Amino acid sequence: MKENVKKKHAVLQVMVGLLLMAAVLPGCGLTMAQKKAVTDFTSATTVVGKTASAELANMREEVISMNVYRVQLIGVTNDGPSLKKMDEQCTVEATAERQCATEALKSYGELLQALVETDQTENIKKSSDALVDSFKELPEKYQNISQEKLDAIGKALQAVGGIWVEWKKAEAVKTIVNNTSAQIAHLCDLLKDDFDPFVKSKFAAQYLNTAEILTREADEVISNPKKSFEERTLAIAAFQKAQENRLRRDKIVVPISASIGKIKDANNELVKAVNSTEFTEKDIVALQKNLKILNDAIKVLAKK
Amino acid sequence: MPEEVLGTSLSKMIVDLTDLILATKNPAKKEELRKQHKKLTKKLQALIDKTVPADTEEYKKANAAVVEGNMAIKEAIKDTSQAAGAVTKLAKAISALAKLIVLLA
Repeated sequence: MKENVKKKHAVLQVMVGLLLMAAVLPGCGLTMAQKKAVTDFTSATTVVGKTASAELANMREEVISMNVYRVQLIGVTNDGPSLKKMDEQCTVEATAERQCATEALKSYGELLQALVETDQTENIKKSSDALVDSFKELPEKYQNISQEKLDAIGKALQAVGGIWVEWKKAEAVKTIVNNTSAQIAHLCDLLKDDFDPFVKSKFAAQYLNTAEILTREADEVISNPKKSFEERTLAIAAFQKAQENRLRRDKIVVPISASIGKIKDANNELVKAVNSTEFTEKDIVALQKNLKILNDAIKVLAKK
Repeated sequence: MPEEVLGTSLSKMIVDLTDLILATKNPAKKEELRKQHKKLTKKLQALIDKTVPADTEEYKKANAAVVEGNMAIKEAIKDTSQAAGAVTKLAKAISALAKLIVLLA
């Protein structure tokens, strides 16, 4: 009799324990506010990553195109562009390196988004592999993550699935955000400078410098009465091309640079947000402030 | 465009106008200046195809308007709060150039 009571008591204890776990663990997933913070951040990061990548390719193409005009206008001279290096410092390799960095930013956003928005482990796994691959493919100077941290990301995502999926996803988000924060900050610093027109010898500065030089050279031909009608027609086309590119400075290049800077700030806020058990109103305001600036910049870019 | 004064000052004006657009912080003014930039570039293209007689009244008016516009842009680059004044002067220059181009058509 006593044995039976003991057994019943033990079964009851297990049942109560299971019920408690079922009640508590789903609550250990990301809160609505945390989910919103992650979603807002990731959509902005994905857009900026894509836009920056496309703009890098565009700047390179424009440097070549402007140098073609320069050769047509002034010919091959010591001061002019080299026929062997019409892309100047914006080489295929330099462009590809930076595009690896923008790809990593985009993959980071996509993985976080997948974790927050989908329960399909296959999609999460695919996004996770894409992120780890994009970090591994980064050129040395862009890398700032240890193998240990990369392994931790893979491990966290392997565990996603099963009945405690929300809790595991929350843990995975925390692991990813915490282990990649230094890498993301490093990428943002380098890319921000590349798009900053005032940081000498960086990508955007070189592109805009070519536009300044073409402006001067085209203007000289337009103003020279000895030049033929054909030469001056060409000079006007070159002049227009140079002005269009100069004007891209504040329409495209600066907003991208500013957005990348804001991604870094917002990511720092995101680290606090996902680690905080009490994600306070103050935290939300700080994160949203950065995201608002980021989203405003994206709106400007969307109109380009 | 055998008469060089107008073509030269017009291309210089477009270069300065680009600088002014980059210096202007007010988005509405910036957009207005961008529109004028487009119009002026088209005028420059149109003028290259024409023989411009420098002794006509329209030429003199257009030239004077471009010179005035140029001065207004230079002032506005120094002090962007003067951008509105530059917009007005630019509108006058665009209008004078349009009249000249119509005359030459």
